[in-house]
Amino acid sequence: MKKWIRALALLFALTMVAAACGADDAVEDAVDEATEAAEEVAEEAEEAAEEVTEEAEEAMEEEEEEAPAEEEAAGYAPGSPECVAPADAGGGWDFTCRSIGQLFEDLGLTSNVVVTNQPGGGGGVAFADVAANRADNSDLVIAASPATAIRFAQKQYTGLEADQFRWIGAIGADFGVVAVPADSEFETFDQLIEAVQADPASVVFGGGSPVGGQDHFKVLLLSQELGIDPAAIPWVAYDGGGEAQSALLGGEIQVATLDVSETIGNEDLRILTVMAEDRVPGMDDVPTTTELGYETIFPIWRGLLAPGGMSDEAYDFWVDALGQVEASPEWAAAREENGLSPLRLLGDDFQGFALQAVTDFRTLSEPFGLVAE
Amino acid sequence: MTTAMVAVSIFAFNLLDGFQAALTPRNIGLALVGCLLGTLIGVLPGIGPITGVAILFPITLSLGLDDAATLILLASVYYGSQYGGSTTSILLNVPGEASSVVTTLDGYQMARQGRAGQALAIAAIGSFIAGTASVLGLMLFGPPLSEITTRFQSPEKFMVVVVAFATVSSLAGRNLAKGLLAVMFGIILSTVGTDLQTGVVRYTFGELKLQEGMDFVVVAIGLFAVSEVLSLLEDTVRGEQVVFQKAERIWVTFKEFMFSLGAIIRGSVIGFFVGLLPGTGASVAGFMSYGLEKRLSDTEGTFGTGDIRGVAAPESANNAAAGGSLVPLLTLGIPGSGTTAVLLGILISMGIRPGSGNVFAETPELIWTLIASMYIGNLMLLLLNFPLVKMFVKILEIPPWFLMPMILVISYIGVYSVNNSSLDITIMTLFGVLGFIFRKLEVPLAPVLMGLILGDDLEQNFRRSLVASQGDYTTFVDGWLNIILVLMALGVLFLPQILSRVRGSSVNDEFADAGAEV
Repeated sequence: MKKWIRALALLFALTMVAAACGADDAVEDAVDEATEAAEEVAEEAEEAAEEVTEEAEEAMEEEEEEAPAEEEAAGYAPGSPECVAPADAGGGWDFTCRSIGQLFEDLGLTSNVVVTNQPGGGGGVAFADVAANRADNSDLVIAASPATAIRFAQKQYTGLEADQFRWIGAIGADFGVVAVPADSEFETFDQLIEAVQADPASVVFGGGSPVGGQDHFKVLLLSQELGIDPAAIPWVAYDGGGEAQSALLGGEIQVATLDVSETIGNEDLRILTVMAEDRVPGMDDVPTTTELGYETIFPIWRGLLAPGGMSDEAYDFWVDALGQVEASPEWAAAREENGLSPLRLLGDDFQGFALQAVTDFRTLSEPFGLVAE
Repeated sequence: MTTAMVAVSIFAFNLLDGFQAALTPRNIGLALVGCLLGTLIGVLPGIGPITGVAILFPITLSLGLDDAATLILLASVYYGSQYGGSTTSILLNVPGEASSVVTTLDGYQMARQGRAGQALAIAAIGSFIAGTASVLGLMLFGPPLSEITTRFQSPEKFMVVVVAFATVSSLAGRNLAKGLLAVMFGIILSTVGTDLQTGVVRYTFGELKLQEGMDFVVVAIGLFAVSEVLSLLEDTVRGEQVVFQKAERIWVTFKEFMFSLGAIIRGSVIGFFVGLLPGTGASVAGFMSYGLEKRLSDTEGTFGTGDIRGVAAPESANNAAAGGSLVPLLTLGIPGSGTTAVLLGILISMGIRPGSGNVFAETPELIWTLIASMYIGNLMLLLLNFPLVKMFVKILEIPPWFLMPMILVISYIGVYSVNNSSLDITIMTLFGVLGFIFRKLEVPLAPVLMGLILGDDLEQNFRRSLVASQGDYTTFVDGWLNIILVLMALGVLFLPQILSRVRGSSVNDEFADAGAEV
């Protein structure tokens, strides 16, 4: 009898750890404790169980009563800052929250930033929750990228509009690229454009997002600038950039629209152009669309936005804090490690830029029937 | 010939270097902790290898470990959590992830017959052998095999999925029609969410959460675990005793091992080659190896009733597929599965950029350390099995009146904690009731999950093929590779008849009929 009680205690402890992980994202604490638990399992399953349970509960409580940060002169300082990553751990939004949140703390701007993963609906679950329940929370920021703007544009965040949020800023960006296999007949971007203009259906494009997603918009924006009917260009959607690259190398598609970070240093590919104004580090020999005389650029910026009800003082605080992170050498290092180029768009500038992007994306999405009713 | 031999000896030498870098007392300790931690993570419903590794990676960074130690810890966590997922499949009929669905078929039956120990042991042994085989495959054929990867484009991938679906009757149980209905139902479930080729959102009923599709874990736990508890409850109410027979032995005999060896080897080979295909590989491997094994070896109709080979084949295939998926990752920089995508991130952070030329030649140390690490993780898991199996089998000694509610509680908390979504809880409960009804109607459950897991691959690859070929249906039989795959699909369908002709012996009649009906 005793033995199964032990086994149960262990199972229960693990469950509590899991619950703590998900519910409060005390991932690090919980996993550390799980490590301890694992080591002690053999002889002291019961003790470990109690310990873990208690500590997991403590961890939850601690987060709730986070010590307030040092008072800032501006009059606002976040009490218990939180960054919502509207996706699972491991993706781009998660990276934004974790790396920027860590630097807020390391640079002494805030106390420990809690990162909450709230996946679902391409971010919609998180935005709906914030808008409904925490719209006036000034301690809260949300990770965002052009994918956020696209979904706002296509009204996929049911009932929410981009201007219901305050756009704090974007620091650092990946850029779109137009890639062909290294042995492709297209040696330059202009050759490719010529072929597409002559017969839009003759070149098959593809990328790692759905139709109307980030990679497809790179083609849509270019075709809009060139005056080609975007629906005439065949575009194959793959499940992620990896599959798209495999299809490109195998010759199923002739051109893939991907990101710098996905393709940098890959000698099997030829990058025809980087969809940016200035050349990006690591791709110094690739001409940008601006250099080639096109207007279209495609920065995949990494940024933060905030609930619509955030006070002006708090908004100014976060804009300033994000600016300080951007200027720090630590961020430069983190950015480079993740293949991002420098970008600094803060406050009202960013708000204007983002809302304009949403408008543009909406115009382009409409012909595809992608703007929800 | 001689160059090949030189290449082999260089590889072997490099692997030894890798082991040398990897085998320090601290690293072995890390492997132990990683395997234990991974197993415990994997046992929890909802948290599979990918999540485990993704969550732990930033933590290992903050520990300041060197590259070899980080790789060993994460590889151990990966193998541990995969094994943990198989453990729940076998003991509790709860498949923790897509690759261990088929393991439930024979594994859980074995557990009910008091042979949980053997099932767990053969899973670990099979995984170890498959892991060894796939490391060998990677060493010997890695770079040349990358060619094959890029030959498999959407039409070929579509045909591979068709081959996998051709094995469905092996999951269907007695009534093939019901099995096919179940598969269709699963495929319908797989259409929920955003459609890649049009960007249109399908069958979500306005639920944002469903835009990313039905969550496999939620459906699987509902269909399997919740309905299992419901039907055990029914048995109890009717006064039928629910007992798991007490385990006599907790390890396999040499005879059992030899009996399973053929299944392990075939599973390893199938798994490795299917694993080469980005995107499709990992989920197809288990289904395909189980289906083929059943068609090849099930002359007495014991598959599905607790045949040890029914555990050995898919478990080996899963592990070999993990090794196979390293080939496109290391040679082309293409992550073929969620786990290799996480691994790619890890390698990049260590300054390795797979896909940029030949990583085997340019940064050999880390690549061989990686391979050695995976191997050590695998070995550690096998060794850990002796104590772990003993502990896990004890779970079945918990009286059912206590165990079953606990499974429910743990399943619910686990599923809720993954996404913090009450919708998941509702869906899981609905599928629990549905699973119960299916059991009453004798509709098999595994084909539903097969449809859900592979339906999306089937549909998307079909449509990608047609977009890329601009509507030309001959793309599916264009080229020798496709023709081979078509023949394979036909072969799989009619294998029982062919075998019975060849052997001249009587294959289970019902089974042969089932094949003919397709």
